[in-house]
Parts: sequence; structure tokens; C-alpha cells
Amino acid sequence: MSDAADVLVIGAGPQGLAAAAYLARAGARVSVLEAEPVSGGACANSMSVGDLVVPAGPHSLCALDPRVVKELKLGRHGLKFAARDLALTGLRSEGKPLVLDRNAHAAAHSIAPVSQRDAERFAGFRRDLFVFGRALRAMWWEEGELGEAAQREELRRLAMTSAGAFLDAAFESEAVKAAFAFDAMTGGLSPSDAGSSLLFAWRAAQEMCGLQGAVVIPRGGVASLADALVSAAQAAGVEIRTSVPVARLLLSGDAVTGVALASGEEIAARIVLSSLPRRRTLLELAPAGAAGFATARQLRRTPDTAEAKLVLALKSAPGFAASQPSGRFIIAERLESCIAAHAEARAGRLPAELALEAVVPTLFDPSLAPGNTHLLSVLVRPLPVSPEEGWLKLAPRLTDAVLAILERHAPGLKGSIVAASVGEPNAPERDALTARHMLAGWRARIATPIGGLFLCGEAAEPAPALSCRAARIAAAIAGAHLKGEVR
Amino acid sequence: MTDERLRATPFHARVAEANRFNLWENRGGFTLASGDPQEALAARFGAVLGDVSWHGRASICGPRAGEFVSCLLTRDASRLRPGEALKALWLNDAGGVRGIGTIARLGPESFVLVSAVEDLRWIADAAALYNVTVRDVTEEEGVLTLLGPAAGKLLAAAGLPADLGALALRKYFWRGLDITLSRLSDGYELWCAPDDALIVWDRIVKAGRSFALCLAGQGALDTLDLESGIVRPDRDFAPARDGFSPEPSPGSLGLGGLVDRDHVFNGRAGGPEKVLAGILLDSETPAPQTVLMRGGHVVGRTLGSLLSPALRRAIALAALDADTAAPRTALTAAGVTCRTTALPFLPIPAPLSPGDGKSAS
Repeated sequence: MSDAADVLVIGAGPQGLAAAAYLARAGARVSVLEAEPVSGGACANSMSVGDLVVPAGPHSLCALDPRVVKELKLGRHGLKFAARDLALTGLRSEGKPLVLDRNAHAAAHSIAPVSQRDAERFAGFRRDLFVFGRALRAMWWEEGELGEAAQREELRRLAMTSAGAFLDAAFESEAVKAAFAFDAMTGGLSPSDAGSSLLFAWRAAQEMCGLQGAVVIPRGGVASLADALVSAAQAAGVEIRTSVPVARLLLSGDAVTGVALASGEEIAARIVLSSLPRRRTLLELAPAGAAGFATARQLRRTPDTAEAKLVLALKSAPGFAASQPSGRFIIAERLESCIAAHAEARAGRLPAELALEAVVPTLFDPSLAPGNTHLLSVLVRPLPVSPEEGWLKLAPRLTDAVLAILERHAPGLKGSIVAASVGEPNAPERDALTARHMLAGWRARIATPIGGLFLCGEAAEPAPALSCRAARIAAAIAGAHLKGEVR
Repeated sequence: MTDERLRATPFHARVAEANRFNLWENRGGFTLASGDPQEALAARFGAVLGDVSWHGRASICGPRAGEFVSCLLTRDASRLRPGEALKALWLNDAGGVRGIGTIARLGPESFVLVSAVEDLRWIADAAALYNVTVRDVTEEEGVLTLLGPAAGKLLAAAGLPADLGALALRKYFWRGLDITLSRLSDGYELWCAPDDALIVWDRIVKAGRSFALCLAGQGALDTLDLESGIVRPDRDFAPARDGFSPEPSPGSLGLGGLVDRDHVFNGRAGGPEKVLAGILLDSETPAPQTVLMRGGHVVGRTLGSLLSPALRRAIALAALDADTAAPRTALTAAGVTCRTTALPFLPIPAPLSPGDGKSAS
């Protein structure tokens, strides 16, 4: 065994780094073990598009915990924001795009041609959602409970309501509902799944750059968040080791005592935090049976559908971005067709219709690409988790399908493509999302059946997103655990 | 239940002849004779023969079978040598009892688990984590049980050595038949191939004539079970069917003795063990089957509750988390404050003897 650390963190993604930084600041000796040669996880620039590299994971941030930014002084470590509030913009085959701007008048003005009734209702819909979202911070930002009985009642209602039913109750126009379709498929859920309406409440509970429910892009891309966290962790005294894949967890009885690396090296530790998915951690790294038989049974479920990222390098910005540069463009025809597409994807086929979320980060951060080149980053949902034909055959078909959709909304786009790249979805690795998981307490998501082993990554978040909140709370729980042992 | 059809055991032809009352019942999908509970009396002076072929038997095989059974059961079965057996429980993740059974080691990588409860899906799912194969072998053998003081002598008369120790299992070649003789419960069990079943039955019955051997139905076997204090799932308690329910705990069934707390098994870390405690309520209204709270958390529930005229308040028995059972812990039961107390609430006064009157005055 090499020299013992107090805490080992598996995975140097943003969550792992944040948890490590918090624990190191509290005085623990912390080592982060990363399988890849670079830290950053899904936020590391690892996907090449022509001469450029972009992260394989998210292209924007919607949930980063403002307290993490402040407490770890990420601003001082280089985190700046290029776009502070990307407006949700629904592109339509005919007619002007729907810009659901933060400015209620602008939003109503944009909706009015589609439906006067929805235009009048939109401001109230968002206000109610934001008020409820703020109340939900008690349980989604920290370990608390909802204060008012009426709010608990509303939460119970949403836990049984599908995103489709929720939007049907609020709006009459297909175009407005379709603008929300992409968000309703987070975590592989279908807009018809009971509890998928919780995703809207969860989004409304988030805050970026002081704006509720905002979507932002850091200067230098999402990778700069990883860089800032590496810098913050190292400043706190965290040791980051790269290219050291963890092979298995070492246990004594039912408590963790360290990890064994793929190289055969064994490192002892009193506490292990894993930023990997729950299933990976408990079924692949832990010895068989250690997580409990019923837990193992539960974890066998994979998400119903996956998402993939497609990035294009273009000679000029796509037409739809010209009028609304700081937009988060949603391309989805109808909510109903998304439900049908989800069913197709779940059956293992590439759906006939897809929902896309596109951003053009180079419009407000030209440093991302040289000269006049623009990047168009597209997330595609819903895709089969394990395609019948295999990912290698699916990828070119998917690219063609997405380009055909984009070409419809930005004629001439195909001609200006310099390079294109599509990233393989990692859904088979991910944990399935359920309404029950979203409403469970932080401790239930962070703690595992194995003593001294905690989850700090996306698996411990209520919904899959980069918030680092689980990392912050897991670090506090692990810290208390360490102190308890000292005493 | 894997199958809807009602199956006959290999001994069915003989059982049907012996079933004087023509009373039948379905146990685990098998047609069995109910018989008369009075038959149990024969086990007090002679011997009884019963058909227990319906008791589920699962074969557990694979290179990691030892590791698996060690994790599955509440006692370490991987330490057994071939031919040895032990009794243990298997629990769900939260420590609820799913089943109780006897496991015997047949070889280095092969075990057989005998139990009266069907939980094959759960066991097979768990075994898959270890690449261990679990197979239902219930229909591949017929099993007879022989109970009573004369059982040993009867076996000797039939030409079988009766020197087997408790919780052991051995194979014999018995006048042309391959059989297994075991002592997994209070008596002996004879395991044989279905095709040999009727021959085995006839040989035992013939040898039993001089020992007043009585053929017992399931009713009598049940009586003997209960008389000897054996707790059976589904008959005496509802086993945990959910993967995460902490009820019933081994302690609450009086099965704590089958749990080796130093051994690492599934469900060990489960819910806190409940203990029996007394509750004094600040009220005269009894609160039976009521949730007990402490500081906003559920810590247990009351069982029976009555008004105690002597204490002039309601009292209750309660199953409580072990750490809250210390006397004088303040709790609430349905909004009524109450506190724990040591049992008994009041000792029953010893009968007065004539001399006691003097010292009392």
C-alpha cells in the first residue's frame, strides 16, 4: 500500500474537484484519481472538431451552485462568463422564432402571433414557476424541507404530473409547448412520464450569475470551469493524479478502506468519494454483493433514452443566430412527436423526429475559434441507449438527420461546414432518473450502503446537471465523518 | 410461483393410498395429504414418516458459490466442509427476513439450500452478481422425513447406518439405490431420485412395521414444527417481500440466534434492531399499534395497549429502536406524550404466605 490519504476522490471532473477542494480547505489530505490523462471529466476539451477541441459534455451551464463559485473563489481562479442569460428560443418551420425572453413584454410580443391567450399567460406561468422554484431551494440547494403545506402539496402533485400534462394545462399553442420539449427529456425521461414536470420546477430553482433559471456560457467555454476548479483545488492543497484508472474499491467488512488502481497499486484512505455514476461505483468498482442485493437489482436499470452532442465548425454563423445571438435554440416540432420519438428511441431505433438544443458560443466569445469560424454546438435527444445497429453505424445516420433538420432552419448551413464531430452518448453508464430520486433527500443520494463511500457527482444530484451542489454537501458529510472518527 | 399447474410429489401414489380422509392441500404448488394433526402424537413414542418433497431446494453452483452463500446467509456457510450443513436466514438490504433455511455443502463449489419458502428469483438475481448458477431442483428428488424416538432404530432395521450427527448429510448406496441421508431438522431426511421414490417408501414402511411407524400428513408435520418452536415464513410470519423493508427483523421473530453479527452478509447494516420496551402514556386512552415519535423521527410502534388501573394510566408494549429504549426516554404516540420504562410495568405480587402478615404490620 502506498501512503494513506484521508480522502480519495474518484474522477477529476468538476464535481470531484469541487468536493476535493472543500475537503482540503477543511484540512483533510485529499487525492483525486483521474483515469484520463487530463482532468476535467466531461468538461475537459476532449472532442476534436477539425483543428478545434471542445468538451464532450455540456455546452452551457444552467445549475452551477452560486455558493460554490463564491466559496471556492472560482472568479479569482479564472471563471468568467461570456453569455449571462441565453434566452430560450423555439425555432419554427414557418414563422418567426419564439423568443421566451426574461423580459416579459418581449416574450409576450414574440408569442402573440402564435396565440394571444398564451402571450397573456406566459408571464404568470413563469412567475408562478419561479416563486415555486425559489421555495424548492430549501430541498434542492440544501438539506431542508419545504416550509409551507401548500408547497408540499404542489410538489406531490408535480411528482405525479407529466411534463406534457403540465404544459397542456398552461398553454394552448403547440409552438410554445414544443419550446419546452427538449428540457422535458432531461435524464432520458419522456415528456409523458409521471414526474417529468418536476424538471421544470428544478430548472426554475436554479440560478446563474444572479438570474433565476438562466443558462450561461463561461468565457473560454465550459472547459474553463474545469480549469478554474483544478486551480482552486490545487490552491487548497489537493493532489490530482491523472492517468490512474481505479480498478476496484477495497473493503474491510462493509466499510471502504481504499482503492486499487488498474496498475495494481493500492491506496489506503478513510473515506472515498466517487464522482462516477452510482451503478459504476457500486456494481463495477465495489466487490460483488457489497452494495446489497436489492440495491444491485435496482441499479440494473439504465436510462430509457440517451443524448448525443454534435459540434459543427462553420464558415459563418447559422442564419437563425443572426437575429438572436444569445439564444438557446430549441428545435422540436411538437411535444407529441417528442413523446413518440422517445418511445422509438427506447425501442432501440433512431427516431424519425429529434429534439435539438443548439448554441453558437463563438458569437459572444470569438476566442473559441480562430478567424471567422463559428462553432455550432448541438445536443440531440432522444437517442437509443443501446442502438440495435450499434453506435458506429448509427452515428453517420444521426449526423445526416441532424444536419437535415438544421438545414431546414438555416438554409445553406451544410455548405458552410468546415468540420463536424459527433460524440458517443454515455447513457449506458448513467443511472436512470426517477421522480423518487429527484425528491429523495441529499443524504439518501450521497450516502451508499458501503461505509465511508459517498457519491459526489451527477448521480447524487436531483437531476443530471453540473451543479457541484452534491459535491459541496458530500464534502460536508464526509468531513463530519472524518471528524467523528478522530474523536 | 413459476408454474400454475399443481404438481404431484414422487411419493404421490403411496400418499394417496395412505390418505384415509381424502383431505388434500396445496403447498408450494404440490398436492399433499393434509392428514390428521393427531398423527403428530406418534412422534412422541414411535416414529412418523412424512413427505417433504415440496420443501424448495435450490442448488447453488459455481467457482464463487462459497463467496456467494457467505454473503447471502446470516452465518458463514463458506466454512462448511462437504457433508456439513447449517441453519441460517437470508435478509433483504434493510435487514428484513426474507427466508429461513438449511444450507448443506455438497462439494467445493456446490451447495444446496433447503427451505419451505420460495424465493428463488431473489437468490438467483443475487447469485448472478457472482456468476453463480442457482437452479430449482425441488422436482429432481423426493424427500421423506422420519421423526420420532424410534427413527434411528428404524433406519438401522432398514439397513441404513443411523450414526449421522446433527446438521450433516451423507450419500449411501442402499441395496441398489443411490440415496442421501441427512439430519437437517429434528429427524432424518431421505433424499432419492423420483424413480426410486416408491421403492424407498415401501422399504421404510416395511421396516417401520415393528416400530409403530405412522404415516403423517402435512397437518401433523406442522404441529410437530410448531411444538418444537420452529418459525416458518408464510405460516408464522409474513417474510419481507420488498428489498428495502426492515420488517420483520430477525430479533422480532426470535431468530436472533441464527445471526452471526461478526459475519458480513447482505442486510447486516440494515435498520436498527428493535427491542421490546414498556411505554407509559400520559393519558388514560390506550394507543395500540401506534407510531412512536421522538424529535420528529419515527422510532418504533406500540403493540398491545391497555389502561392499567393500578398505574392509573394507559400502558403499551412497544417495539423500539435499541438506542431509544433506555428507561425514561420521552416520546410521543399520536400526539400524546409518553415515556419508556423497564418491563415488567408492575410485577405480579407473589402469593402471600401466612407468615407475611406479621412483618407487614
